Amino acid sequence: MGEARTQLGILIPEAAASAPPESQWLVEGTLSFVPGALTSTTGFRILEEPGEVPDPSVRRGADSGSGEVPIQVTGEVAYPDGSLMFVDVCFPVTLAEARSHRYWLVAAPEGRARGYQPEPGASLPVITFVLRQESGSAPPAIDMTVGQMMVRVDQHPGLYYYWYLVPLVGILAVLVWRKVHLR
Amino acid sequence: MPLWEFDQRYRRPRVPAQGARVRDEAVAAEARQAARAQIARMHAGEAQGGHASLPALTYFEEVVAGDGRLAELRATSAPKVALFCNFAPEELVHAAGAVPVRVCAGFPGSIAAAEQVLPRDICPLVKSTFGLLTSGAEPVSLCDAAVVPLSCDPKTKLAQVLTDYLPTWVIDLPGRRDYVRDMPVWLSEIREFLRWLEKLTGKSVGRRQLRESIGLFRRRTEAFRALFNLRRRYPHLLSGRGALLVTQASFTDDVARWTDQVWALLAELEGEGARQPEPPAGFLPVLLTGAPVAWPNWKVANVIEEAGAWVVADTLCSGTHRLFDPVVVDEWTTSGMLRALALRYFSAPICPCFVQSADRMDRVIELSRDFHVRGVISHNLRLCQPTDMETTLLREVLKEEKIPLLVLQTDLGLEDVEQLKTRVEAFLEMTVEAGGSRSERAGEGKEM
Amino acid sequence: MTRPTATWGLRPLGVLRTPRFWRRLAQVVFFAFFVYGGWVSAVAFSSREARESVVPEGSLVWTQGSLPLLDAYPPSAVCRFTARGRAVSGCIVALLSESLTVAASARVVLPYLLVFVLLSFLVGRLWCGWVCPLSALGDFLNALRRWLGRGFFSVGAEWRRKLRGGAYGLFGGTVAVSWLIRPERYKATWQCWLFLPFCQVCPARLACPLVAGAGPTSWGAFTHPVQAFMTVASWAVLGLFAVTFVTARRLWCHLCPIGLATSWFNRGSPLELVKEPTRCNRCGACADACPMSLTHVRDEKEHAVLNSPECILCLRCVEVCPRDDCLTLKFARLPIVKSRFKVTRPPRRVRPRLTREKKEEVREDAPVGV
Repeated sequence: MGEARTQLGILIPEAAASAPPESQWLVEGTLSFVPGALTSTTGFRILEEPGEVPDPSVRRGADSGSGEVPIQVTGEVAYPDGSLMFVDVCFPVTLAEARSHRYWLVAAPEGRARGYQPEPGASLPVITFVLRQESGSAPPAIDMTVGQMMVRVDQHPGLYYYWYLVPLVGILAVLVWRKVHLR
Repeated sequence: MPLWEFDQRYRRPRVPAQGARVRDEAVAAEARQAARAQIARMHAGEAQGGHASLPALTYFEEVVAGDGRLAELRATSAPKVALFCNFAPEELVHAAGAVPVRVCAGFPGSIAAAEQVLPRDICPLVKSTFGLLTSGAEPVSLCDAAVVPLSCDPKTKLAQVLTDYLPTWVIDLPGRRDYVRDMPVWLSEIREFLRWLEKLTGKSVGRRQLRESIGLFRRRTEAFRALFNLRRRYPHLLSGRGALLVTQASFTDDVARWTDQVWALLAELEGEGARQPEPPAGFLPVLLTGAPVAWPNWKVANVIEEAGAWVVADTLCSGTHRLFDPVVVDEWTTSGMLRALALRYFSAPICPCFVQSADRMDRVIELSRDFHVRGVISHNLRLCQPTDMETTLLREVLKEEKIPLLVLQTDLGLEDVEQLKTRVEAFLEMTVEAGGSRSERAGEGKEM
Repeated sequence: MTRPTATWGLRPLGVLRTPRFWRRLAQVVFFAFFVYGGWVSAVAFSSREARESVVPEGSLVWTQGSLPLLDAYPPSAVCRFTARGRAVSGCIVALLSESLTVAASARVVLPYLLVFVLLSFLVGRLWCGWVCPLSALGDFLNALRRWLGRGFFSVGAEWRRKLRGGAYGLFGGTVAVSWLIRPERYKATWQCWLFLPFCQVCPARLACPLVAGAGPTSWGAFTHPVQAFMTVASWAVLGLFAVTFVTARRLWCHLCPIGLATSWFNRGSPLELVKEPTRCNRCGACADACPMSLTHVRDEKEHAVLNSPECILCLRCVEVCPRDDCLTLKFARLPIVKSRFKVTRPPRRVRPRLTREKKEEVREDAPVGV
């Protein structure tokens, strides 16, 4: 599969009221995919800004100026056909006043996988994150779950994907008409 | 003890007292003769067909007019319970080990005897039956107890009068046929009735007895429905009076034997139907509705059928509606069976004694359509006020259905037979002229 | 003499022609699919355990992650918390509460809604009567009651209205709570324990996996007061569910919010229960047989179509109606089942004779005019 990117809004809820500001938080989470969508985490990147897709052969996190967040892929679960079902990632986040950050998740064609090792001894408060789909941007062709619902996010945004409304409204209209007719 | 029994201050020992009846032989004998005469008359009207040629009907004739069944009732040690209306559940009487005997009779000769106690201007059926009781006529005088559902006014007061003659049980029938509000009342009445029956017979009624009784009477209903369906397909095979005879026999007969005999009759009728699938030319079906046509006074039925029409269907409680509705049991627990019984005997009947008329109108329309009748004849017995009060509505409903209606106001006496004949014949002529389009059978437009 | 049974009159037609047989069969088949299908899904799609990322660990509504066999949210209580995975994605209340909480876009939810609306519209609350695995379980408990010969109690119109109001409350409350606990509104984390609020208390979450043999993903957790409350509530509701189905037939279905959502489609569905008014005498057999204790089938004669939001189309009324062609089930005006009074012809036997006495002659002067 070709280049794919999607924009994630990663919101970190506060775990404790006494969290110090301006500190680094370690964010852990799981991304899930439909069968056949992603075969390797080699080209996995999380970027702070929508920029050029970095060279997958370049070690992840090596180029700190590109706005890439150093992530660690801590676990993978595969489907029987080899494509990935779940990918556990872990990355640090610096929060200032705002409590939300926006990241770009990029998955590129395979290269050799090399992981990024965090410093040993780091102990940061661990929190879970919630993936929230940003609408209105140009979503790539990547499949992901939203909550526990599997969804395919396609290239073309807009009304075309709301065609389900037509039969839905049609059936409801027929229903209401029949109800009124029965009265 | 029920209220109407324990207040003894106004009880007067009446003649005949229990067990020492003075039989008014004349009246009793005349009643028997009247029964046999009616049978003979039905045979004489063989031009109608469908009666004398059926050997299976002989059994029913013997039950209603012969002495065989009466002898069995005399011989049995089980208590016989006189039922004065269709609303009393026969299954319960049977389950308790008693014999249910429906005693509604229309013999005019016993009315004089009744009028010594009862007033003149009340329901003639009540007077006739009461008169037969006081005259010692059978089967009513063979009964050891009476059950009176309070369906109409004369029956209400009759219950009080009867307590001087027989142990009487009263079942209060709510006038509204409301499923939600009145069923609990009726159900409690039925339970009390059952308790009284158990005391009467000394046998307790449990789940097994109820199941067997309901099963027995269900088979009776099934046999009757098979007969009804056959008459719907071949209305010309059994005359209206023949069908009334079959139903009349169920008033007193043993249930299982009656059921078997009806199946035998059905087998014969099916044979006849194979030979003669189409009704004869000039076939004139009518629906008979209104107050009960009570044995042996089938004056109205005689007049109609001898004038050339066939009573193919009826809504009489002494006819189809005695046996048409089954007891539908949902759960076979004791309370479930009692509830099903109570429901059938309360919610299924379409008697005008209830407030609502709608269901009876629907039934008249349904039968008129199914049997393709040329006209409806309403038997309005004098002083049957609920039936009279529904007649206006019936007239309007049938006018909308475009079915001619004839209302016969009559009494049990035989003085107006000629008048009735004239009216009926005129009515039938009119239906023959007007109703060609309604009939879908052969023989339309021809007179007998 | 043959003994009377509840299956009278079935011999001529055979049990295969009764709605009851097909309904029980449908309940068994769908129960097997929706409850045990989770095992198939688990085998087919997952070789290792995986975590869902949405909810904290130890929550009551953690689904052991695997793909559903069918990615849809059909009507009725098709619980996704069945064994080791799920046969379908879940029930409509789970869809609504989840999509509201994670703020799924309309584009994500619309296809599922369309499927739900279409399935509900086509056959209305037939899903409740013939398919729902939770009520199939309940009907099994009801069958136990009948086998034991115990009676049941039914409620009147007033209580049915109250229960339906309760269903509205549950549904509305679930929607409201789901909306309010969206993550960006988190001020503290305790709201996250309310994720999928109705699922946490729904008896299906415990009962379906129990029956499937794997147990629920969480029997209960007490690490947080909200969790503890939900745990206790879920067990109380399960107990109430069992007691209700054992004593009151389908009383529970008046309260079910999933059934409520489907019930909006009952009136107006092409699947119609129709009465021919002239053929009905209001005998009430239908009202007595109705497991939802409805009386409108008996009383309604002005309108031919008898669909009601509470009717689960179990067709007991059509089965027991003793009038021919009175009640009919029609789909798009085509009749499917009609009421019929079944007559069993008894075997031929020797007819017993009446005891006879000497026949009297008819007298000449007898009143022949009678």
